[in-house]
Order: sequence, then C-alpha cells, then structure tokens
Amino acid sequence: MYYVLCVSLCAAVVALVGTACSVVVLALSPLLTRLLRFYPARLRAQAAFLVRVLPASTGLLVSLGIVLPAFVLHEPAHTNERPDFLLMALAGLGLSLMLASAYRAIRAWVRLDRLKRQWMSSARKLTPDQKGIEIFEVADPSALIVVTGILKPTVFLSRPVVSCLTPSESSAAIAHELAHVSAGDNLKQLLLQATRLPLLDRLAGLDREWRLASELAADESAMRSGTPVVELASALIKVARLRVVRPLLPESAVSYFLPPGKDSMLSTRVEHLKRLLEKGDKVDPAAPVAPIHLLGVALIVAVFSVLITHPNLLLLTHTLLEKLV
Amino acid sequence: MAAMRFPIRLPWSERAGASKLQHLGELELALLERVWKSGEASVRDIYHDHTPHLAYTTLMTTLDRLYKKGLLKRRLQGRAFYYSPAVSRSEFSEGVARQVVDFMLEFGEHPPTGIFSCFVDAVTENDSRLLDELERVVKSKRRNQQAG
Repeated sequence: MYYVLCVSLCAAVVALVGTACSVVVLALSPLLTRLLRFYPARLRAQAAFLVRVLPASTGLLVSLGIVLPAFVLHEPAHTNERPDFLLMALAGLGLSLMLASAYRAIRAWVRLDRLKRQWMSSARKLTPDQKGIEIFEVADPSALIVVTGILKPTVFLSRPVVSCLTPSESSAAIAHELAHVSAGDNLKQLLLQATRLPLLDRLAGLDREWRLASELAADESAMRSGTPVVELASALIKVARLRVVRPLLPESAVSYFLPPGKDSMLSTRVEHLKRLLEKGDKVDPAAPVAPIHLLGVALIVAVFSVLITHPNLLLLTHTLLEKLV
Repeated sequence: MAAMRFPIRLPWSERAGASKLQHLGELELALLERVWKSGEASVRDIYHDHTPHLAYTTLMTTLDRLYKKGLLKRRLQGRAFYYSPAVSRSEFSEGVARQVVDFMLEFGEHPPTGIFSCFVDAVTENDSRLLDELERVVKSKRRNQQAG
C-alpha cells in the first residue's frame, strides 16, 4: 500500500500542478506572444519554449523534487492509508498524461528512425562533414532540406534541391540547418510533442511562436557564422519555388496548420530577409546568448537548496499530503 | 526500389497536415501523362498538340519543373530538350498510394510535427508573391555587388 500511495500522490501532484500551470500559461500566452515580438529571435524562441514546457516541467519538479522526498522521509513504511476516489482519479489523470507523453516521444522517435532509414537507403554523401555532422543527398523528388536526429544529427538534401542550388546557396541552407543543431531544436521539438496537452490546444500558439522564432534565429545564426544574407535569401527562394503553392481558401472552409497570408512562417522569414537585404540591417555579432535556457537548471537548484536549508518544508508538505489523502 | 515520395494533389491537401504532402498541379499531371503516353517528347511536340493551347514558355517551365522534381528525365538534342519519364506510371501510383498510407499513419490524429527541422515547410500563394519581391531585392543586391 505504501508504494501505491506514493505513486498515486506523485502522479496526482503532476496532474494538479501541471494543469494549474497550464491554465496560467494559457491565460498569459497571448500577452506573452505579443510581448515577445519586440525581442530578438533567439530570445523569443527560448522564452516561448521555456513557457511552453513550464507546466509539464513544474509538475514533474514538484512531484519528484518535493512530494516524493516528503513522502519517503515522513510517511511510515507500514502505513495503512488508502488513496480515496479523488486521489485515484487525479493519479489516473497524472499517469495518463505521463504515459501519453512517453508514447508520443517514442512514436516520434520511431517515425524519425523510419524516415531516416528510408532516406539513407538512397543517400549519397555530399560534402565533407561540417561540425561533425554528415550531409547526404537523397533520391527524393520533393524539395527537401532537413536536419534530423538528436544524438547524431544528419542533414539531408534531396536531388532537386542539390541540382537547383549553387554551391554558395547550398552552404547557406546547410548553415541554417546547422544553426538548428546548435540550438538543439530537434530535442526541443521532441519535448514539445511529448508535453502537448490534449485539452489545452491553445498552448499550440506557443509551439508556433517557438517554431517561427527558431527559424528566424537559425537564419540570423547562419548569418552570424558568415553566411551572406543574399545567398540565404536566394536559397530560400529557390527551395520554396520547388515546393507546392497552396491556394488561399476562405478561412471558414479550411483549417491550416500554417495559416496563409501574413501569418505564414515562410512569409515572415521572407519579410525578415527582405528587410535585412533592403535596409542593410546587420545581425548583431555580439548579440548575447540569453541565459534563459539555464533558468530550468537554476529552478531545480533553487528548489533543492530551499529543501536542504529548510527541512521543515518537507514536513509541511507531508501534512498537506495527508489532507489530500 | 528506394521508397520515394511523389507529389500529388490529394483530397485533403488543403487541410491541416498537408504541408508535408507534395502535390502536382493539373498542368503538371497532364504533361506527365502526355510524356508517359509518347515515351519521349520535346516542348515543341507538346506545344503543337496540347489542348487547350498554352504558351510555349509555360510548357517549357512546367516540364523543367517536372524534371527538377525528379519525375522526368531529359536529353539535349540540338538546341531542344527531349523529355522522358523518370518513373513509370505504376511506380508513380505506388508512390502515391504509399504517401496516402504514410499521411494517414502520420497525420491522422495530429497536425504534422516531426522531430526534424525543414529549411522550407509550406508555401502559400501569398508566400509566392512575397518570394517574387524578395527575388527582386536579391537581384538588385547582386547587381550592386557586381557594380561595386
């Protein structure tokens, strides 16, 4: 019963804290998205990602960092307490969320692996490795430039793309993809997919904000590493022209993953590059890397520091848990 | 044969998830059909017998696009390109069927999100107009660079 109670409490706290944080994030996300527009792309991407994963990570942190130690330290091993219906329901919800996250992550991983194997079956190594990352040309008729993988990223360019880009345009496109690798964007995508909450789809607005900002940040990062903006823009034009042009339909008739018009990610990138080209805007080479990605680590350290210096907090937590049971 | 993704317009191609699907325009499909039928054809051959009558440059551009998409091969004879199919009709159909299955497996429940980063994801008509503007700026910039 001790272990059932422990798992139930931890799972219930994940559900409670995660849901509460999601509601707060949901309420604040429109304002946050608007505010972020005034900040550099890298900072926007990092902030959007952090806020988006905040509910899930806070739920896990509180559950594993506070509830679990409080239970282990203060609950007698021979307890006869049984979880009541409400606790069981909350625990069921928490466990379902965690299992769904794990399932989505594994599914995404398996699909990625399948896709990679499919591409590798017709791959030809294109250029020497860049930053230890292999670059392949694949026999795929679509306009494809992608970087896949988390532990061992690989860049794939399809044959039509290789044949239509000049070497300097190819280098620019590859520099963009390498910027995604440096930013750990594939890992972030996996985490975003794993932590998607089915009932809070509006949080997807933050996913979109992150995707858009990460694309702009990758363009800027490529330029910072010496890629001329003309080559980047030229590569974007050629690759985009190889792709499908979807007709605009009345909004009520369709639902777009990427809404047409000004909201499309490509249009934002095109406008961004156009502005850089026309006005001769420079990407600040000394733009500081926002330490916002360290916030998660800082939060964990802070929680543990507080717990170590204030041991009574765990006792207080245990008392609260007793009320929950 | 290595698994290939073929461009085709599908009934749900305007819905969420369509960005990963490549599709062919009506003219592209018609020209592909024409090349399958004749085995090999030049732009001039198609220009003379294609109905409705279309501009020579339109046909040339569309055939070039099909070549770049890997669906046609071409050889230069004199000053003209002769186009022939790079994939058979059955391979094409197989690719389409596979793509339909892939689509249903992959995007049946959720919008298309994969753990990979694409250089370009989806393109709309509005994007196309913006691309024209960007191209104008790029050309002007290149001219300035050459002059300078």
